[in-house]
This record gives sequence, structure tokens and C-alpha cells, in this order.
Amino acid sequence: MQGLTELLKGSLEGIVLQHISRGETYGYEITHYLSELGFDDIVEGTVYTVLLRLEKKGLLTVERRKSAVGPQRKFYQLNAAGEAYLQDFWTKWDFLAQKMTQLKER
Amino acid sequence: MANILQKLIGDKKRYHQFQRDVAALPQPYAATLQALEKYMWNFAKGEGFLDALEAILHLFEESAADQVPVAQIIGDDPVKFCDAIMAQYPNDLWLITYQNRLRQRVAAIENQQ
Repeated sequence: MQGLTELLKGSLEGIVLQHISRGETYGYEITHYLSELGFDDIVEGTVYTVLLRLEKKGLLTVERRKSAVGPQRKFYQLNAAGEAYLQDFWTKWDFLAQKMTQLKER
Repeated sequence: MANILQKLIGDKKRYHQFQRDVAALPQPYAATLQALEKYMWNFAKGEGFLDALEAILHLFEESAADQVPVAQIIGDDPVKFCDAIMAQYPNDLWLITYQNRLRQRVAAIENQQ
């Protein structure tokens, strides 16, 4: 689906963290995953900015190394702070989702 | 001039390496990155400026290898793209420093009320 950019802004961090929590990954793979999920208009740079932000917040372990094929890549893993942050994200998300459903049905 | 450059980019060797790495990118990645760099120089403040440039370089290197089109890297607005990256280096870019200073100033006024 397109035109989700504004609505997605705050939740993209959570989506990306959740994906990284399943195992080490890199930028292009994450963008590809998001597009498979149906988030078509998220570009590489958007994902990269989210990753930079998460890295600066100290939520990720980042290692830049040469992959089997291709150039040096940054590989991302969740650290303990990232795990805690992700849990907190889902708590907030559940609250928001519940409220939104209530609003819609009222 | 040399001193100013030193202050802005720190290690000159590192900056020259950056320039070589950019030039080694295929087109249109190299030309695009050079254009982005030119824009970002307007806001260069401290040594970490080179960190921001290298962050974009790494993204471009990975994307070029994966044959991601430039439009798919930076989206529909190169200014927004640059600003979003630069925002992650608040102490090394004047634009971001000014933006944060404005936020703090207005917040301080609010708190005085």
C-alpha cells in the first residue's frame, strides 16, 4: 500500500527493531522485507536513517564487514537495550491499537 | 584555509580517502553523492561532519552493489534525505545545531510563563 509514510513514521522503528530481533541483518535486506510486507514506498534512505537513529540511541550492535558477495556492509544485531526498547514499543503499540479500535467502533 | 579545513574535517587523509571512494562509485551514484556533499558543506561545523559524509557513502556503496536506483535510495527529495541524515549528527552540522537551539529557546520561553 502507498501513502502510508506519515502514518508509519513513529512505528517504523518498531517494525525494523522487530525484524532485526529475529537475527542479524543489513539495510538492503530490511528494505526488501518491508516491501514484501506491502510497505512499497519506503526507500533505502528511510530505512538507513532509522537504522542510524537506532544505532545512535545505542539499541543496536553494528559491525561493518565484507560480505560473501558484494561490498563492505553494515550488519545489525539487537543488543540488550534494543530488546528492552522493543518490548516497550509493543506495550505502547498495544495501547494505541486498542484505543484506535475503540474510537473506530464507537 | 588549510586550518579551517582541518577543523571541519579533522584528518585530511581520511577526507581524501572519502573523495577517492566517492569517485570509485559507478554513475549516477558518484555524481549524486558529490551533489549531496556540496549541499552539506554549507552546514559543516566540526570533525563529525566527515562521519555524516561517510555514513552516506556507505549507504551508496551498499546500494550501488545491490543496484538500487538512486531514487530508491534518497526518495523524492534530496534535501529531506540530507537533512534526515544530518539530524543524526547534531553537534557537527550548523543547520542541526541552529534547529536544536531554536527548539531549546522556544521551550525555555514557554517554561518561563
